[in-house]
Amino acid sequence: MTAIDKSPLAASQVDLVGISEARAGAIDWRYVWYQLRQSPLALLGLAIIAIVLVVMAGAPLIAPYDPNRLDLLHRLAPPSLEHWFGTDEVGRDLLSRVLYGARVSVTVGFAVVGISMGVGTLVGAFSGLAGGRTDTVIMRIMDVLLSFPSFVMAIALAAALGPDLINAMLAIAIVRIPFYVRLTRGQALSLRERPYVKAAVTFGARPLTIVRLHIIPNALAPIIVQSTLDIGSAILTASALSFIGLGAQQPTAEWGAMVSNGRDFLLDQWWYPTFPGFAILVTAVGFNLFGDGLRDIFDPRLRGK
Amino acid sequence: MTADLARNVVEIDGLTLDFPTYRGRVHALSDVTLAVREGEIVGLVGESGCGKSVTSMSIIRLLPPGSTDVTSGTIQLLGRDVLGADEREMEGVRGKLVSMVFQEPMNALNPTIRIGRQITQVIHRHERVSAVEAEERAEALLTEMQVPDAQRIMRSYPFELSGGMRQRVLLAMAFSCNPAVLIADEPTTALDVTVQAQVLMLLKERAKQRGTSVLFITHDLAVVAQLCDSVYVMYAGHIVEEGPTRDVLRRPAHPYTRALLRSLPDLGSPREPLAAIAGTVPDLANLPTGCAFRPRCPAAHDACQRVPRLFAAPGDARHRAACWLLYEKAGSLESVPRVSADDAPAVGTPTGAPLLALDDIAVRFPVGFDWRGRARGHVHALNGIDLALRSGETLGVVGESGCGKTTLAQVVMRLLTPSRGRIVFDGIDLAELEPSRLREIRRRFQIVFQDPQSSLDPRMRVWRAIVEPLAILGKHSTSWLREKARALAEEVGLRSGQLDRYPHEFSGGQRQRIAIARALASGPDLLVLDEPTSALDVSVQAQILNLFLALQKRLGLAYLFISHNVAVVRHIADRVAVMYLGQIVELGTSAQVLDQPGHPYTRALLASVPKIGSNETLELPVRSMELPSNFHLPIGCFFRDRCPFAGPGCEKPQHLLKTERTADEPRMVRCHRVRALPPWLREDPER
Repeated sequence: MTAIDKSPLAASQVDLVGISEARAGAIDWRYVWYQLRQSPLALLGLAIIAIVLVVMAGAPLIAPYDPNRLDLLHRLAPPSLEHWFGTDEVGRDLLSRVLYGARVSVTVGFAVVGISMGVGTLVGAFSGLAGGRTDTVIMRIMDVLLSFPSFVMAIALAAALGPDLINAMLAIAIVRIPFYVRLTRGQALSLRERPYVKAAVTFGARPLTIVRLHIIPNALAPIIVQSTLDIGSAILTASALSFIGLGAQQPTAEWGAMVSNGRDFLLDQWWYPTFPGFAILVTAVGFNLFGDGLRDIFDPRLRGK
Repeated sequence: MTADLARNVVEIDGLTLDFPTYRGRVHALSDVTLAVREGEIVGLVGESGCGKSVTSMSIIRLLPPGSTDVTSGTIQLLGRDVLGADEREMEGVRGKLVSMVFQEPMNALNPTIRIGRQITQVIHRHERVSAVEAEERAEALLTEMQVPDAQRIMRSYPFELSGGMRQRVLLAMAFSCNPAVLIADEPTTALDVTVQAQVLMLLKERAKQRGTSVLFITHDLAVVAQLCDSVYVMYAGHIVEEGPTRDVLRRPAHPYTRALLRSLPDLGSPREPLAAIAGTVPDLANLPTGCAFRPRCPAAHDACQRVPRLFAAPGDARHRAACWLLYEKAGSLESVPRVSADDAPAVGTPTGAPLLALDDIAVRFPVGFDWRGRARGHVHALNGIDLALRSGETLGVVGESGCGKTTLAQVVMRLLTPSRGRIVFDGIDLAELEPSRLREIRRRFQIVFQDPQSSLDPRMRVWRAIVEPLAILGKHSTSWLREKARALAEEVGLRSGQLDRYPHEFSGGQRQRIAIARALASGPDLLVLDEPTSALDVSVQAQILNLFLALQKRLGLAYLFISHNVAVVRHIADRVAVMYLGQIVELGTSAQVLDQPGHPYTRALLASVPKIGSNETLELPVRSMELPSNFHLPIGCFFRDRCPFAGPGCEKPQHLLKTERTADEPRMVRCHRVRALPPWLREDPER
């Protein structure tokens, strides 16, 4: 083609002086930080995530009690100076359990997203690069997976695999794989037409090499955004499975299980389900705010949607 | 001329404009003073990023107000202050007093609205007219812009029109309310030369008839030569030279303008190194102190530490340039040393068996599948290509967009499998190879793409990108690969200290050097160069062309050089093939084909190329401007419908005929009347 783009302004009338050039594919973290500072909500999300991570790492240092220590003399004690969040029906300190619960819940969130992102990205990249029949078959399988309501699917899988935190995690991860497959495949479809991918073909590169060197690194920006948004909802889903008894089992300190156990005491001992529930809410909101902020940066067209 | 008495329609005085960004303040314009007089066509030339478009957009305040910062200066449009006007006032000015034509006609038209309504909308916005009246005016405008069958075009959507037709529609819109000034921002850059010639002629005629002033922004000095009354040359946000077009182009006073003119391949002798300008355009966020051209200027001296103002050049009083040499002693300018170039490569005398042979290659793409999954039709991209390329030889392939050049490159690189025909590389038929053997032989032919930005992975460090072919072909230690990358970088003239950076930190020309180094990594015998310089500025293009010539001399490479730019091909190629609609219409040495063209299409192509030296009026080289569709191929000679010499016999399919034979170079033309055609008569004063 002879269509030559000489003027730097022609591509986008707003994006002057080559900022877009620096953003063409490579993630310019300096630019991300510059944009992030302009968005108070994203910064709030980042702060929440930072606090949750500190709590996770430092739970033994911060928590006033052992989360599993029984104290039958102080059962269902209301919030006080000794027990800030009160105690549960066997006298365990709820603050300590909520702090330790961050370890379980957030680990589940990261693990779920890690598994679904890892598998989904690889499958999607191959599907998009291969094209043709391979692509059609993979995408039809994904369509089938997507056609089930994802929570129902997770319940069915968790029930089939047995009530256990690891199984619940796997179930949620499997349900999320198609989203990453579709996202990455879309990216791969456009990336495979890029000259640098064609150049790699002319060097004699095999598909695996092309996926590893070119497709995945360049498809990463939207995947990072998607995964950040997903951590919040993975935590929610894991809590929900625990809530209906298909996830974490006693005596694991897990937020969803704590809400579930505290449900019976909601009217008289409001603090029991409320504080774990609040922890879920704040963490999920934190990841979502940060994810929204990242999305605005990587894809400004979606801003405000 | 009464130009001096005419009043100024546009007057920019001392405009300085910054963009505050996270990288710091970008000084887009520095003290720009410019005037467009009534009825005058003014050119604004410069390389990319020099501030041409920013200047033009600030005239009608199209720049985003939040991110621009005018630190000083004024802009006046017919005596009104633009910078102080409120937005409502500006809306009345845009389209009515000033209208604009952009480079990419597809982006400037709304794809979901019919052409007719887009034009009448503009008329309704500025004038109280009835719907019928507006329609009639739109139709008259289109007819005036030589749009055939205007009524049908008005009912069409933009995607149904060709690029040249869309640009005519935009011109019609621009002229619809009789503006005082038309700002045209690279309006023909995206068009083919034959179409560009028509659109330029149209623009010039209509502007002169209506007395409309034109500010014409372009990177192409030859277009300026043909179109503009006076010209401003911009560099790094500064006006460095201004004056009547003839004076500026014949006796350039600023070292930058001189260097720019000398780096054009049109004026150099074939296969000799061009006088490239060393270095690249400075970063506008970090301008050098004093004269912005100082770091690249061969005549830089102490005085250049201060910013020069415009001084009068010898000759015409209106001719001025911003260079201290003019102030000190005008005479010394003549002794500006020539910029040194790479050592001169000798003209290759390729011999022996062909390295690459294409035998009756055809490529067709199925389109529009029916319910059984069968194609409804085919796009015929290549229709029987026979070519041979010997080692050490450069074969140029010229043609306009859609002629199949890029498809040809992809077929040669085995990125596309041809529907018919054989590709033989060094005696090996590539179609018969197993995938693993093919992967192995791929190292011997490599490609350099047009756009250096997209041909490098933005997330890969440059040294890794350069040795990517080696890393793919075998296991090597990192230190060995790094050493290799350093050697390859030196080969193409890159500093080895920068190899840990990412591609976006390099300029376009440097990126193209990186891409060339990568193509050389596996030690190929053949490089396919697919428009390797068309995304680059002329001064950089000259550097890259010199590099190709030097590499060929040093490494004995064969090039398949694909380009739409006739001057570039004339400069670098030993032999030339001219393509039209997926066929080769003419083949021979570049002197034969490009100095005495035989085929009517080659003649039309050459007649359309604007030239700096000649100021003859543009002639219409072809009868119809629309390229025939390669979905329904024409019957007989493909060029028949556009050919000014068409006659009896042209309705039959044409074959490549040998017309003359010099030594062992046959010259082939696909035209049965080639001997009966009038001799080629374009005088060429520069060669």
